[in-house]
Amino acid sequence: MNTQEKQQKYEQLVRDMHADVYRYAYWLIKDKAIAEDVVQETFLRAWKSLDSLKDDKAAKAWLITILRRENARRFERKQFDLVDMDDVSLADDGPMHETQIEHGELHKLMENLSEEYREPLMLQVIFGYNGEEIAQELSLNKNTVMTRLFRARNQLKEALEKGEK
Amino acid sequence: MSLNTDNDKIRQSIMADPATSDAEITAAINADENLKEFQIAMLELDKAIKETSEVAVPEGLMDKLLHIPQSDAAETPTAEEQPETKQNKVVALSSKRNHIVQLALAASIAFAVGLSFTLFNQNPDIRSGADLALAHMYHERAYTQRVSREVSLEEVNTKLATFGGEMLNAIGQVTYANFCFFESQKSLHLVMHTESGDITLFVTPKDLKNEIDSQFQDDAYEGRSWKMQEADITIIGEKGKLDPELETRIRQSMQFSA
Repeated sequence: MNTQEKQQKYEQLVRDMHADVYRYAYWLIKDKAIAEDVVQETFLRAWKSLDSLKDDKAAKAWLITILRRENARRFERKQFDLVDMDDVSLADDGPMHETQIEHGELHKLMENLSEEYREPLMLQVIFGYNGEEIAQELSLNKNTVMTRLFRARNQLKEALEKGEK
Repeated sequence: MSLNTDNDKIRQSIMADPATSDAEITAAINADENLKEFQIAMLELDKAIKETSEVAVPEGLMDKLLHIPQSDAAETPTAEEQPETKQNKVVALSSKRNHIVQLALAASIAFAVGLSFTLFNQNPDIRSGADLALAHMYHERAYTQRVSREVSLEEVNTKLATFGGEMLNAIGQVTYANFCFFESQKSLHLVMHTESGDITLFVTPKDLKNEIDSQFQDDAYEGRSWKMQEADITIIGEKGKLDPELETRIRQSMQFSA
């Protein structure tokens, strides 16, 4: 791959994937500014090791893996100012767009899901992963993944029903 | 296994994957109106989850990401670095400046056609940390001006926190604050409007291979660099306008903790 091909491939990757990758980062981290930083680092790593991406169809999984690793690295840095993510969630994020207003309650409920439920759910919903693909990405067995997906929706469903009463 | 247990298991499967194409589950759904209704309700919930998951992508994020190959290339020194004496450095820098500006200009144009990586990565003129800082400033200048806005001290401090740093009071209005990369290491690039004109400030990690000289200059710009507890600071301003007091004020305003 020559430089121009590499550049084109990278730009295509950014255009196709940046929105989904950012959204996934957002739901993983629950903080817009940190999610944006992690996405920038993810794409820097992607640019640097683009040669190792042989199969374009695997780009999605490849980026998700880089992103999860970059996110984990945040906690390894000794200077990192650890804050309680729940304290910096969406409290003062300005006007929400229409869908978010409509689903404001659901947004909160999704944020409050524990990470082990939220992450597989987002892989399924945002990226259209099936149970096996999620299992592979998260190094879990498929039954565990399916149980977590069931529990995630069950918690959301019950909380919404409770809210309606 | 009782019928109820079967039914529960199928409901669980539907909740784990409402759009399932599993033959056994699909057959069970087709044979039972209640299950069919349940699946429809779960598909509706999923639609709402999907819509909720689609949070707004920050404005300018795609531009920043598309810009990564350019800034990464500008900040990667060549492999064949050669030691240079301090004496000939200032002279060398002046004569190099035009070349670097040309390269930066060419790179901005080449951005569209994807050639700048080659230009910068093979640039034999960038040899020292000071060269790198100046080249970085030149290369990003058009971009930082284009996306210039009022950045709050709070936002600056969120980014500085990555380096364990904090800016206690504003030295001037910050108009650009974004992470960048020096030698592929995460750094921070600030532009601020001060009494000394527009100043570029870099926060770089301590272990750069090419240390930045404490004072440097070329035809048009001058810079100062100093070490702080957890990071190094470099400022660049227009030649003759960079007030020496600025360094003192920045030193007093910035705090780093391990």
